[in-house]
Amino acid sequence: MENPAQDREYTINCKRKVVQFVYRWVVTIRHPVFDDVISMSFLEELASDVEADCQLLGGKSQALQEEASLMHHIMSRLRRYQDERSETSGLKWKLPPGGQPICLFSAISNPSKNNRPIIRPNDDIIFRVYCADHTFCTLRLPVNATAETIKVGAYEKCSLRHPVQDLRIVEVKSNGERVPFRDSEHSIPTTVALNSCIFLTPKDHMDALTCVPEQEKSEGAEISSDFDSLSTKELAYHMTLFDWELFWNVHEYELIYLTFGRHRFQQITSNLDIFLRRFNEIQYWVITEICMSQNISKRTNILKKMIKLATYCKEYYNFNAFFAILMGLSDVAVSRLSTTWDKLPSKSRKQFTEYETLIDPSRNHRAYRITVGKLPSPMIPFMPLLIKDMKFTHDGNKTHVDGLVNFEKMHMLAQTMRTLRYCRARHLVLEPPVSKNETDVKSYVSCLRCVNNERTLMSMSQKLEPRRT
Amino acid sequence: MPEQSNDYRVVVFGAGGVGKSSLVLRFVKGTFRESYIPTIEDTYRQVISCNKNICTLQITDTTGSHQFPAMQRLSMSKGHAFILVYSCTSRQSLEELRPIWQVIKETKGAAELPSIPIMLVGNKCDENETREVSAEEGDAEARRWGCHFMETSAKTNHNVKELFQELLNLEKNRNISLQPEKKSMRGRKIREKCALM
Repeated sequence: MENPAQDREYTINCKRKVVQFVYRWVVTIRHPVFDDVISMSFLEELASDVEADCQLLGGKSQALQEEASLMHHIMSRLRRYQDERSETSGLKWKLPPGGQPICLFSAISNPSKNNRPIIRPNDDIIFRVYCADHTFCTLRLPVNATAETIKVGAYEKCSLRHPVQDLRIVEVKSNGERVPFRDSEHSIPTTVALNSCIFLTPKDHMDALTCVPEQEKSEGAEISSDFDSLSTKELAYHMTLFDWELFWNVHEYELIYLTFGRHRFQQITSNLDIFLRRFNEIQYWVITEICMSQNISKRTNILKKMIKLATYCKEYYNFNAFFAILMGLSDVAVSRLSTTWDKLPSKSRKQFTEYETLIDPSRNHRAYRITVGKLPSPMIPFMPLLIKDMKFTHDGNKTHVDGLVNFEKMHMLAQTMRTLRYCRARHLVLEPPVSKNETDVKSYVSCLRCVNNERTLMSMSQKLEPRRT
Repeated sequence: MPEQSNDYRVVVFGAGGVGKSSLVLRFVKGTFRESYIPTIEDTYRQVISCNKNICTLQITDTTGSHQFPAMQRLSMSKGHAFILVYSCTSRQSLEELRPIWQVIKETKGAAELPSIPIMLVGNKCDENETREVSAEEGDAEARRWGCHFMETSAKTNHNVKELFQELLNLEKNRNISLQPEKKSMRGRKIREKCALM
């Protein structure tokens, strides 16, 4: 370029574009940028360079002023993030023995922030590891500890005669199914299914493992209050707030880690794991509540209350809970209770039939997609479908074609991730219902009792209403 | 939109990587492309004839839903016929079908089960060098389960159309065929309408 003024203009424009791009990138990705050492030092360097440029150009022009303030903004976010992190570092989480939802062991020092903290790879998690004879040891390890680390830790505490290299970590589900883990797999306590237990066993004894009694327990669960006695609207309200916090803590990247495999990124998906587990928890809770009511009129009442609960969840745009409830009600163990359904008021029945069309999986959940497509944010989406979309796109398409990245596939995955972003574009603000017993309801929704062994549920159901022949 | 009752729903199960999407796509689109981009919505529909009427064959691909037993159960309870796919190159993929088979059995009930068209399918039968499961073994497994068996290759288009035809032949409650009645003009019109949707 011949003209030095033009030259300068061009340089400034380029710099401007770079800063604008970086700003967008940081705002879009958030935490993972701040967590990464390289990108963090890059941001610091860029910020000081822009600052220096600004001073160099002086007061003569306003050039790069705006960019400098963007970088300021980024840096203050970064500092704030770092402060928050140091405040909440080393949290302890606990996986209760029954493999029920994870809960926070020690609350944060600052009680003014009652937002649920995000689970981080270095947080500690406390959980049990069982042996074949159902004796157990309790371990405290980082969330991202590998199966190998768990194995060694448990081996030191349990007295097994086998050499450690012959042992394996295995998940035993409540239906007795056994899923072995590879030594390199990590964040196991958060990935196991609802009511699963973690076992340590010699490789060739895996088939002999059985459930511990707690996994099968269907009665005697200690519950502070009765579902029957709590206000349905209040339940839906607190359920939605609880689910929203779980949903809010899921980072879009976790979808990618889950779809492509955590091991490829050395990252955890724990926040996503527990949100997904919540879906199964609600669903099985619905079935359990109904199958555990011996009295027919009480059972009809609970059925009616569940349909009403679904109505409120739908009004709150909590589609995850809505689907979980509806799928619980559609489970064979519940749908076969014809005497109970016969006694249901026609209004409830009509509502249920209407909702059934919304959860109809036909044409890949077209009914649901059309319905939510028209709704504004915030909302809690039917998460299993988003996961299905991600996996479907991943399984059906190659990541590389002729050595080149398959951008069409990446765009499709991004589209699904954007749905998540859209759902959370605005904060959830709900009108709180008139509260009678807020504490009870809150603690009730945070840990729902559930039996998730289909066979157990089915036999409970058959006892309630024996098959007519 | 076609009436619900007019749809005939086929549900496809199978572990990741056995080629169930490819199999369905080969049947619906008639193509096999290594880099095919399946769209998420509305892909798997085919117009067929049922009791001499036009109806829609709907294929539900369960890819990606194994983490959610409820979604699988919902598909099962809504499904009329089932295809269980494993890959001839992976014994593990056949093993993984067993629990799914169990759930179908439980969902549909022992009384109804014999009347439901179910096909065990060994896909990728063209990959003989890496084969782990022989056709005889697959057939024996199917016999143990009391369902039908076939080997296919989505890649070479071996037995794909036959698979769906055979499956529909197994349906005894209605008279279903892959060919919509040709002479009926009405049928053709509906067909065009569907293509537009």
